[in-house]
Amino acid sequence: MNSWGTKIVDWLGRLPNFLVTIVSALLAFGVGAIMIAISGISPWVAYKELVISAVGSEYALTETLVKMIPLLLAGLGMALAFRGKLFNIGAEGQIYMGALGAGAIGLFCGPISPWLGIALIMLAGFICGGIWAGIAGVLKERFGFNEIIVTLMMNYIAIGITSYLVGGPWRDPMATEPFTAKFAEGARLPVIWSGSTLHAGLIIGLVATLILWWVIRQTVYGYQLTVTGLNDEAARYGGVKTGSLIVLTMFISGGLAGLAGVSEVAGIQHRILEGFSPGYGYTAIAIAFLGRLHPIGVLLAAFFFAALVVGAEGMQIVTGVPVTIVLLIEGLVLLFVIGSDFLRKRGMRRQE
Amino acid sequence: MDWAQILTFVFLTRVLASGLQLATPLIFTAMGETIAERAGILNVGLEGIMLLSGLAGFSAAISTQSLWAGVAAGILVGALLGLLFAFMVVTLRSDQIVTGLAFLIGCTGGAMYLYNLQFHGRCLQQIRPFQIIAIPGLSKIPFLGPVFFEHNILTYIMLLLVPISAWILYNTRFGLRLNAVGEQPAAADTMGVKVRFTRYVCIIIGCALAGLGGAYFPLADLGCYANTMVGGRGFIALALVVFGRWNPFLALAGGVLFGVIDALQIRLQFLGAPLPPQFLIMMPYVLTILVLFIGRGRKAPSALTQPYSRE
Repeated sequence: MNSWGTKIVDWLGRLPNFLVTIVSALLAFGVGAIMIAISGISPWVAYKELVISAVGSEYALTETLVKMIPLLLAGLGMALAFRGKLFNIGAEGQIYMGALGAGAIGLFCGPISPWLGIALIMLAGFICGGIWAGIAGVLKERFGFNEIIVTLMMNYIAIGITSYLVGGPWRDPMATEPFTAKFAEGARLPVIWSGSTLHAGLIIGLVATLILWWVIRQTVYGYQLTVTGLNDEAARYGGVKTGSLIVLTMFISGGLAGLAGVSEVAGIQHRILEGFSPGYGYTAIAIAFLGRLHPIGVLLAAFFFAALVVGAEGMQIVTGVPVTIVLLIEGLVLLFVIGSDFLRKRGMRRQE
Repeated sequence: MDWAQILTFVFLTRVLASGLQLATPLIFTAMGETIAERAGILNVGLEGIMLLSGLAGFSAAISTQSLWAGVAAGILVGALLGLLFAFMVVTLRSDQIVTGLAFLIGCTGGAMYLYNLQFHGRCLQQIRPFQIIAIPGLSKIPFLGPVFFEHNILTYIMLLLVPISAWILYNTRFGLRLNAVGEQPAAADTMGVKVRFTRYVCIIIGCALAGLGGAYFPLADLGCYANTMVGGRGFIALALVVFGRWNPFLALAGGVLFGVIDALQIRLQFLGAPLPPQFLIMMPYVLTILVLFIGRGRKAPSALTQPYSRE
């Protein structure tokens, strides 16, 4: 390698993780700019509009925070599973199952006091999402099924069940579109910022972030999970019961994604709509990796992607750049982050 | 629904025939992935690669008014994405699963973005897809004729491709080398097999076939592109490879099973089965989880997902 290349690699090897992530994001936006330019629109104008629509006003900021809630909760769930090298990519289905759990409480328990109602919908949503992912965990543990395939197939099954319930037995008889009746008053997440749609899901998300941080750093479980993810044979040799660890981790991971579904239906529409999640579960995968599987990293990545989604909607209205560019940028950020890891590994080896 | 409508010879023939056609994109993709996995490469991004190649195929067919140009574009885009994937996982030694997920998200997003850009997210122009070609003589055989000899050209190509890939895998020098690379890369390297080059070739073949599978939807089935057209089939293909124990013929059998179930559920919806359509649509996905039971316990290629370096 020539001296310039060596210098670049050495320099990259010394950068802290978050800077590499930011450089990767900038590169992805660079490629995104080329894609926007192809469509004949100035990337500068488009990106300016994106930033203004995402964080440029109090309204924009609360909208971004509202979008961040499901992405954060599902992203935390995915990060936990990925730490143990469990590739749960079924957040989308777990979000739907969580929403159904909340719906079972909100629609059929009659009038309910707010604290009890919120506790119950969260519990039901967590359990439903958790079981949905836990099934994949049990199948992996008992029969060695690939969890990537199982969790993904279960996405389609969960979406089918939701669409059946919302269009049939749970359908609001007065409704013209397939959706349920409104949840009982007590089973809704209250607005916490007056004059906006920002709801108490934000508190759930932030508390979950802190709890997960504590779990990963301070508990035996968190340590065992990290060790298993690094080298599962060594972990087994060291006395970790990897079987039950797999099932438990999948359960918690799906439970967190389930909470994302709860916050989405109980916080915004107060009812379940067919197809209410525009692919949050897939974005959560990107968020987990971009956040380096660290809860605080996931929080930052979730905010970043939420801003991207909200900003892109504004950008589409003003400049006509399709909002789907967000997914493209997500994939590119991931590719650059993964690619840069290689350069960093080389850089570190040179320094040793 | 009348059971007499189902338990007829004609119904069975139609379901089997359309099952084979619905299975075609699955089997193209599963065939390519069988080759790649035998060389030690797991690609979980096939779903996205199929979608983006499908868009490329549709777009090329619309602009040139030639279905074969569409086929070529689908294969080419698949191969180029394969080159990028190979660069990431072979040269940069990135984690195959994480890279695959990045491809899944990036290619899906790329396809949706470009579809919005080029067609404003609506399929206003249709193409006339590949038509059914009845093979003279053979198609007149009772039952077997309509099931095997009344298909579009891509389904015939698929039926030829399966024995060809099996022959390449089991009987050629290249096939033996790629198996060695997937099982014992270090030993293969010692024997003078170019491990990285072999993996590059296998990944590109695998993704090119996924590209062909993706192009099948607009060119031979729908006449149109849709964001939902692949609908998880990239992942079903992954399950088929496991089900087929990395053997092309068994993957074909599994693919046909899927196609038939899919054809059956579509027909049952049409006939008004006493089941909600959502449950019928779910059938192939439930089946995917069930077939993993059959493939369980079989040993995957030893070096699957393991990057190789000489150090």
